Amino acid sequence: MLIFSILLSFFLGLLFCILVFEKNDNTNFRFLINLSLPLGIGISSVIFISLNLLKLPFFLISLVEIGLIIFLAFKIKKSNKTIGQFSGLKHIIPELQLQKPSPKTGSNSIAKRLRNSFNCWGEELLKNPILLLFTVIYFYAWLMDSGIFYFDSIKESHGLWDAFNYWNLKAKFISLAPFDWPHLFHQMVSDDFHPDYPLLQTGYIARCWLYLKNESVWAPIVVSFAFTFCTIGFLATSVSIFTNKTKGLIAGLILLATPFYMTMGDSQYADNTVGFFYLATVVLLTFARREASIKPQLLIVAGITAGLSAWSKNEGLLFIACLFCSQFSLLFFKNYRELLTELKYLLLGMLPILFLIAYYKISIAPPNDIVSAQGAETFIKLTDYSRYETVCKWYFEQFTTFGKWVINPWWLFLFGIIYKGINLKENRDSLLSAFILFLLMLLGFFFIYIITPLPLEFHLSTSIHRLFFQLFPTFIFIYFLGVKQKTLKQNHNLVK
Amino acid sequence: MKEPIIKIANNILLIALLCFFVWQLYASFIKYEDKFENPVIVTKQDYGNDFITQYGNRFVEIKKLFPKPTNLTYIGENNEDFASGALHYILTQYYLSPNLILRNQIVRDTIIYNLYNSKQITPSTNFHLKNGWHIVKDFNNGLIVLAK
Repeated sequence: MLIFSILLSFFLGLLFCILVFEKNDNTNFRFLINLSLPLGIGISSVIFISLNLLKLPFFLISLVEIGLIIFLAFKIKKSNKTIGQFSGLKHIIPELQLQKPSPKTGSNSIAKRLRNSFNCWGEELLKNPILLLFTVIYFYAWLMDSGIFYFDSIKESHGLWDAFNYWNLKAKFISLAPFDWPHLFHQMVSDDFHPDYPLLQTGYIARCWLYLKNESVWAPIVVSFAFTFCTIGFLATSVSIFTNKTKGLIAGLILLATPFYMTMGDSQYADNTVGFFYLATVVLLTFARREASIKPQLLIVAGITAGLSAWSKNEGLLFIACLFCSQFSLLFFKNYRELLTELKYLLLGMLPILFLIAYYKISIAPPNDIVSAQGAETFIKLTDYSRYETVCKWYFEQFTTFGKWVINPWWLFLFGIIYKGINLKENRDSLLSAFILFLLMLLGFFFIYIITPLPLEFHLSTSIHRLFFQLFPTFIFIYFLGVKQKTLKQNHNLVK
Repeated sequence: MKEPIIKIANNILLIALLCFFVWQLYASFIKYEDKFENPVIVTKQDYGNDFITQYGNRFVEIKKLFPKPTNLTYIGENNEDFASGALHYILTQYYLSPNLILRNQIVRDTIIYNLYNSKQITPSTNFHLKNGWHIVKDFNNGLIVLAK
């Protein structure tokens, strides 16, 4: 049942992505899979909580979800789109493959196409030994990290503190008291359980438990696995689409080789979840602005992923604010009408999720402890120089300890920029706005620490590394987007 | 002439980068080496034996006492340090949800004592037993339910 419930979300995300992306978007199958699953999980969570708040019984919510999948399938059939439009599958599933294969071209034909496809990949790898080496190491790292994730998960099957204190605890409330949980959440002590935290992960785990009819520890483990590894896959494929395959593998390897990234994943915290949606928003915005004319449907999906980031963690709300602010930097290069049209589509995508968040925050959850503690003291904290000094000290300390690498890897990023230079010709708008977004997020986090009502050192020591990790995949993407590369023509050949 | 040199330099740098990744991955691997060698034994040994899961075994019986969501007042050990006090409280809430476990000033009619170390309450000195509450059930594992 757990597999069934996750597969439902996967198909929801998959069909949605097939509908949104077009042939000339130059996406590939791995990109599609790594985006579909987390997106599907996010959409399922929104549907589940929204309909649950309308007091719909669970079996009806499941029917709505299945109905939506059928609706999307019909819509795709009508629009003549197929899964075969994504490169990487072209060899296996030709155009318009949704029809049944003719008896003459049965499994033999598919096997033949599979063989051809592997031959193509094999040829490409053999031509480029460096790419082959990176591919081998990438797969080795992927398998090793899966093993590490598994061993850590069975050792701490309920996850670490935040998992059993916030995310899984509230999931228990929702699954065991599906109609009473809003009332119970309202009475919870905010300082102990943070019932104001958004419900993407919580709601989805509760949904899985309702399918399972028990509170299996495997539901949060599988969800965390999906987000952790889809972030890696999505980052690697996105970078490979915009640059080349070797860089894509390097980007993925950076995350795979970062020891603390796996710890973040198997601890069942929501930081990888929100990190995925930050990355997806930036990547989708880059896709939408890749050509001269914008792609509204991709901007809407970027809006959805930004909304889902706010539905994952409160930091997502800061992300949305920074996202809109960062877009205004494009006024130097764009007509304001054009920019407003883009922002309109972004807002359109996130609006339903923002309504749900607003309803949850206003009607159900008690006020956030950081927000509710603000008042006259805020100004005193803002003018306290020692607080700035402390936060700065922690920011710089992260530079050396971040990720728990054996040696500090930051010089590699710096070296890459010095060696290759920065490319502002391709994807200029996306690169600039994404970089400003990244800086604004860091600045936002900085000021949250300045005004925090919690003891400053305690707050910093328990959260700063996780906040930086949320931004890490996005940073890697922006970095590879910005570093100069060979001619675009060459890269397109590599992608194909 | 310049292009092949750049190409060679690029390849050398990529190989160096690859070595760096391999070194980092190896450093991660050696911490788990024994686990990778005996995955089945490790699974049997670790799965379900962590502190949180074991802690949950204490709540199997007490859960049956509350078929519908109830509000309970929580009392922990006396002189407990902040961290372990918070952990015991949170795990009580975790295992007894959707009952609401509260440890604020307002004392409800139903009280749950979670005495993980001392296991027993002393009737002669206990405030609640002296003020109208009685023991509903003592689960003999430190969990005691009192009611008015």
